[in-house]
Amino acid sequence: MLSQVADRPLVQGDPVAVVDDILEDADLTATLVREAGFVPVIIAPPPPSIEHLLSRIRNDARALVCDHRLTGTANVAYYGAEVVARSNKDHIPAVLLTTYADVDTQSIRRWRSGIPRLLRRGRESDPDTLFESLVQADEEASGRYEDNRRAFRTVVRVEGVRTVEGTRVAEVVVSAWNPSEVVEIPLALMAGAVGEASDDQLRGKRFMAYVNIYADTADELYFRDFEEAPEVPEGWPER
Amino acid sequence: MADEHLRFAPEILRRLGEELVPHPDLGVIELVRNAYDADASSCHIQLQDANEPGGKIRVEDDGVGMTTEELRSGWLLLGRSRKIHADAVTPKGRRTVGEKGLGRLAALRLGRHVRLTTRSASMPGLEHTLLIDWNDFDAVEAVEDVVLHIETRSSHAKQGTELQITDLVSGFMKDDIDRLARSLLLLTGPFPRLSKFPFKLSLDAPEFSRLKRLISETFFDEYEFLLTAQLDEDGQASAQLVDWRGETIAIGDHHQIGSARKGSGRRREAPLAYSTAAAQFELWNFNLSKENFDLRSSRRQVNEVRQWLRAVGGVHLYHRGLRVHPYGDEGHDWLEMNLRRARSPEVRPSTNNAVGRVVVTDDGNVLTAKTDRSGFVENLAFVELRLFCQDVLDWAAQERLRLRERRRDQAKRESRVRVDKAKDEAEKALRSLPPQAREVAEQVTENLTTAFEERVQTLEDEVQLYRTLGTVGTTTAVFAHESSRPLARIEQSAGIIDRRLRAVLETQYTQELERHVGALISSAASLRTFTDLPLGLVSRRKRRPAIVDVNAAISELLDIFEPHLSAADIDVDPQLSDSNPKMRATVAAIEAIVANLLANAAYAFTVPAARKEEDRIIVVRTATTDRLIEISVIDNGPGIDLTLIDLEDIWLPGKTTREGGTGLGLTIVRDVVSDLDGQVHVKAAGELGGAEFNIEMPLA
Repeated sequence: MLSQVADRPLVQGDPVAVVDDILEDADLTATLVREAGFVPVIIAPPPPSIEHLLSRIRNDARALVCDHRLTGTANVAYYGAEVVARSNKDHIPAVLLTTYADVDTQSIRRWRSGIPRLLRRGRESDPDTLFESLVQADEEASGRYEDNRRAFRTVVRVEGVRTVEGTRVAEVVVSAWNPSEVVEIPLALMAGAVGEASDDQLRGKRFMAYVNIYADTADELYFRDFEEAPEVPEGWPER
Repeated sequence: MADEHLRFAPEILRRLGEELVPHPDLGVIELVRNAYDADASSCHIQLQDANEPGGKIRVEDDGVGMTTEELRSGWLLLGRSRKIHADAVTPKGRRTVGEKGLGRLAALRLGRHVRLTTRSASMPGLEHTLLIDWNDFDAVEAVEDVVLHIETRSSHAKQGTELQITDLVSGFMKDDIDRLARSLLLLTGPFPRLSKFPFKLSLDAPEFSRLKRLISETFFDEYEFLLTAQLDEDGQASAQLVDWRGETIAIGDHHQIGSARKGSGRRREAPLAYSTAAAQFELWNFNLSKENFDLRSSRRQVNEVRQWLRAVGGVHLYHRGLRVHPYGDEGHDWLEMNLRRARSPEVRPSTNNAVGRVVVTDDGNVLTAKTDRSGFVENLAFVELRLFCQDVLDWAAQERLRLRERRRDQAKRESRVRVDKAKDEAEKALRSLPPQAREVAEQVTENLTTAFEERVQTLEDEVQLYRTLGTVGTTTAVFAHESSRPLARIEQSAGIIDRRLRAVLETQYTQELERHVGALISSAASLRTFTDLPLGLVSRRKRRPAIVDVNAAISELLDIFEPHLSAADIDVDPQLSDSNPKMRATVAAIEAIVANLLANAAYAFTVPAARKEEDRIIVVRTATTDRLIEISVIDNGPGIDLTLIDLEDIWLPGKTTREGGTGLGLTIVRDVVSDLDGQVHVKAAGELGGAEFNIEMPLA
């Protein structure tokens, strides 16, 4: 059994857990992990409880590569994004490898602050990228963030609220990141700060949140710790 | 060998008292709970200069009081668990609710001096008094070194207990008093039919009077929906949903309630039983809109109900007749109603538009109070109790959605009946006119009806067409989506094969296998276009109306098409305007126009022996005038064969010269351009000899 938190950096030869609901995919990822110089430990299919899964990862591995959609063949109630975020929080460096990075944007965004790197299966699954990603996750576990992952408290303005495929989504603008691009985030991320405001009341409302405003693309953005922004001082021009 | 005892330093009193129970109001509430356990029918709390140090608190009840023995073995014994006398029932039939005595300790420690006076119902004519001076404890080494005396004297006063805490160490803040007032008022609740034995509480603070006025005028009869659910001793759930007319909307059994919750998009199996105490859950859900109040002919003001809900809203948990803090307090939405409403607002209650209670007697003592009195330990029994309530909420939301759908269908049917009825009435009115006027009126009406029916027919045809297109789109998206996984597998496997064989076979690999593996990799990249394109087109971001950078949208689309077009040996020449044109549209609309025209042009090159030029070229051009943007897609293919189709017919749905074509692409282009207030023109043989499409639309 490995210690919960290793007191040294991740090195080649370390065991890396590979979590996937489909054995065939797990096997491919394991080959990649081996090519990157690590020893793969396959967990496929994952257990129904995320706590059990995290416990197995803690016991058997020093790092993690996890698929996002784990419900294809396994009866689980969690997404890989949550596993990766919680694993990184446990100081076990983890990266998310998924085919559906561009589709599952909301379920990934919810946990994005704890996901240092998001790899697209096929296009971004080569050993060098995987190695770099795990090292970056290891660095974050030690509190060293790259600029595009560092969060700053900034203003987030709600442009609109919609229900999309059963999920409530807020369309927000983060002017400090890009004043002319609308980003969709799950409204649940803001639930504590939103209170009981109706959709109409939310439109145009400003919040403060921690956002990694140096992110290169919208899908790299993460949001946390929303709170209502102070009122705009009287006399300030309305946008 | 001498006998020894564990001893406790006086500091333990602070640790177990004021540090463990941080809010003074919680301690006071604990004294009130003691009064409840003493079968009191009333309890009065007086705060005298309590907002500053040196003030005084007085708590008085008319309960059964305590004998000296009860004082010794109960009141003065701290930390004893309720489990010791788990089945205790008072003469009035109340299940006792007091716990451990740590909350009481916290209350007593609010001041420097405590005076307890009690007269037991079992020993009338006697009064016992006990004094505690906390300063005495500062001077000793261990708690038990301070000797306390119970003085007994005769008294003709009625049974009951009075507790005075004087010389307060620090004053009650306004928030503490507000919280205390609310906690007291909600302790037995504003709800109907809670307890067989009334327990009247009062506090002489202005906030209490204000809140009491607000809370005591209840508005339960203003509900839009009332949800009641039961969990029986065997853990089996049942529920019913009633609307404001008193009509039962739905009745749910254990299986329906247990499987109503959706997790990760799939329906959950109902549990065999909820492993917790028997419970009753009621939720009054209000519709705080003026229309709804008018509909129900309510004479109350929406605002009154809103203010009342602000004070009492949320789901409160009543354990053995008394409310348990903090469930239902502001910011403690233990059933996550607000979060669930945020996720899916339709027909969901929130703490601002609903008030409810969960009533538990807990005969089996499965719920365990936390030592700091902030609710119950989150053990299996509590988690399952919460799950039961949440499942009931999900079930109710699902039933209300179904109800709404039924009403929508009904409205659709009724609208047809209304049209027929209106026609009959119009005909009747026409018949009653004088003959000359009737003829004119009949003609006018007929014209109007015909025009109206034509309009309806056009819209119905369009709905039909777009339903077909929608099906094509969703099917394509599903296949694209499902193809992603095997495609990723091919890409990943091809990459592995490439790297491994290169390392093992070296030159032999580059000579014999590299180009075949390369073909595999480039074919996979080409296939990727076909999955990315439809998935990209259905992206929500692209369907949002905005000021669209047309060049950027076209460039992104050309990137997606690039592998497909280059595989067909087609060069795209983007001639995009330097003026960076922007227009009010959706990215999806721009893509729909250009993608369909590109697909058409690409197909044109595949018509056998029709190509005139060696190189296959498609020009995509943007240009601007004062107020318009012009998008052109021009190819050097064979052009449009006018012997096969009239030029004006190319826009019609289903018209195509292409084998296996849907004939819908150009229809979409026409409709999208029209929606954007633009115009589209076509030349069968344009600038490069092939087809040329020019679209003009207003700039932003």
